[in-house]
Amino acid sequence: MADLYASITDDAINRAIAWLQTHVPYLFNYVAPAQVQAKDKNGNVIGFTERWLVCKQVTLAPDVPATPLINETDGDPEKGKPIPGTRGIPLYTRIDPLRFDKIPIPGVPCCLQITAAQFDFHPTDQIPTLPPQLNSPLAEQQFGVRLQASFGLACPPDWVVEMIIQSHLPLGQALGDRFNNVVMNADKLICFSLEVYVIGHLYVQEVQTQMPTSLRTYVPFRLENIRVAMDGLEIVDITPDGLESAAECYLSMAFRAWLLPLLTLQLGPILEKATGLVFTPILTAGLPHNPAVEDNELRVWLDITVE
Amino acid sequence: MPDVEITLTQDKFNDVLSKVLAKVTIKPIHFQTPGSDESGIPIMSESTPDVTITQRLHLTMPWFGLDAKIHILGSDEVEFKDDNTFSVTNLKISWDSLFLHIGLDIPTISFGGFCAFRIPKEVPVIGGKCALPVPEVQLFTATPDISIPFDLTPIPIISEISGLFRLVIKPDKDDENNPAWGIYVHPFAVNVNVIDLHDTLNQLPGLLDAAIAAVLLQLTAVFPADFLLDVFLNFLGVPTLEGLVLDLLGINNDVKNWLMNALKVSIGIDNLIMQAIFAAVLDSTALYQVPNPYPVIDAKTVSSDSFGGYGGLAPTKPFRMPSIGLPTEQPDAVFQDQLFVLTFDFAF
Repeated sequence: MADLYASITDDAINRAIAWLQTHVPYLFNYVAPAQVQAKDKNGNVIGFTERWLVCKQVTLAPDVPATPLINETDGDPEKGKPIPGTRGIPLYTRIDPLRFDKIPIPGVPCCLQITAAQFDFHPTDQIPTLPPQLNSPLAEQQFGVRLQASFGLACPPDWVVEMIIQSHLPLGQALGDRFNNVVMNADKLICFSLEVYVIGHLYVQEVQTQMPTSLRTYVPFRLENIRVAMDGLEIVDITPDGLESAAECYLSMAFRAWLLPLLTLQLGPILEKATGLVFTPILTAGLPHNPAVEDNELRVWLDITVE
Repeated sequence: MPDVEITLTQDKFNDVLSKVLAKVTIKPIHFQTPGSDESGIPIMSESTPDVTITQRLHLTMPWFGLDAKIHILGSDEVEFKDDNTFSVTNLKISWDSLFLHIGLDIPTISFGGFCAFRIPKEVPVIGGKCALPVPEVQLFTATPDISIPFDLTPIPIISEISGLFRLVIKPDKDDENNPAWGIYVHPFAVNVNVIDLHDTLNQLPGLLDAAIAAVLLQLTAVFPADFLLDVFLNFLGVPTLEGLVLDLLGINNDVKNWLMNALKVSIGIDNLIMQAIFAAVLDSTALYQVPNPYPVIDAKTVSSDSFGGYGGLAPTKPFRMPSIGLPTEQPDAVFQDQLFVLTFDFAF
């Protein structure tokens, strides 16, 4: 029998994601703001401000404290103190505007918002219908993910295009990098939404390594990494089919090469602060599936040494 | 179905519990028997509506004191009960130090106030006067008057300790003062039975002889002159000082038996250990803490340019992005089918 068993339900994970969306919105909303001229009361341009354009409005939950942000500037005598005038946490994470190489236009304001994220552990219940391409329902030990994302791109108004044309040098001369730090002015985005479905399973990767026990002494040590493998990805309703397939190909590559390696859980010694004890877990051997995705739960059985 | 469930086997629970108990700080045990001035045999009592006067006969008494430090090593066995309590049997303790103080407490007496040598009357001028006055002094005012520590630290004391505990969950704070749910073990019965002294090297008689010799030396030093000691012994009606000490302390040839009796009866060591362990475990740290909120993102320093959509003014300096945790409701801990089962829900 395993020393320790732990489980979490898919419903709990989905409720946690919904809670995080309203309490940590900057994790789900990525925006490249538009640049807008700031003018004084006489209409003279005095600088630039930013306009943060999004497709879906973002609000903070009312229980998020509206406390000032704390200064963390090294060497600043005000470090550790509240920054006057600030309140609460930001709504968006900044991303770079879209730029098109060889096309001399300013950066294009855009946004990517993850508006829904749901997990479903076998058997299927949180995501009632998977796309037919993913062989619904979920197979044993499989999990499913449904992501809904909104994308927005600014389309420059005619006056901005005219301004760009007027700013070009006569033909034959290099345009240089005049738009490198400039972002287009815009007051709205062209938005569209996509739904992405992913199915996958967990597997254990064992890595033989060495653990130092003193300055020059090492002992063999088996590291266990719990990793995520993707079994399928489907973007819903992109036409034509070739565009959908291409998008799925590159998104799948991005998941496999970048995102999934980040979702690796390495089992190693854990300090439990309350007791000061160090727990070193290893996956219990001899079980048909460990970790397991079953009965709407993610489950793991561990053998633990306590020091 | 709870959001999160964690179970631990009985054996692993015992492993964790033993290690937690081993970290418990038990306050030093200090005890001493009352002195002769405080106790005594009541021989007469008179009462009025306002006051009761009791006359006591104060006798020279053996006096015992105990100074000890113990810590818990762990237990062999934990057994979960159906009523969400668990029993611990064979809880082992280690004696970091154990000093039994043996001594005598002699009732405070007034001694002296007489003339040891009076000049014969026939001597002119100074005849009849006292040539060697013995001033009146209060003797044996301390409690005890003589004592010597008897180091029992090298002698293993064999004890059987068991206890009944229950789990208590309450709002708590972790080391960094963050809120959490603390899971504590509270004793509601501890039973201690000191059953034997394991004197494999037969050290006891030697240790006792040395202690008695030291008591005798201290007692002798009280008297400024040898003849006064003889006067005192006559006063008490005993022939020798050694006889007085051995008799008063009740020491016989079976040193181990005498010592066990001193520890268990005169001092009540079982009770002292029980109280010390009970109090220490009651005050100890949590067995486990469920953080509330449950941390998912640590606080970190970020650049103000990396974010937007600020509620108030946009900061122009690096600031601390607060940590993020998922609020948890009070966990539930039960014993079920020889498993410790901890469950909790998120508070949303």
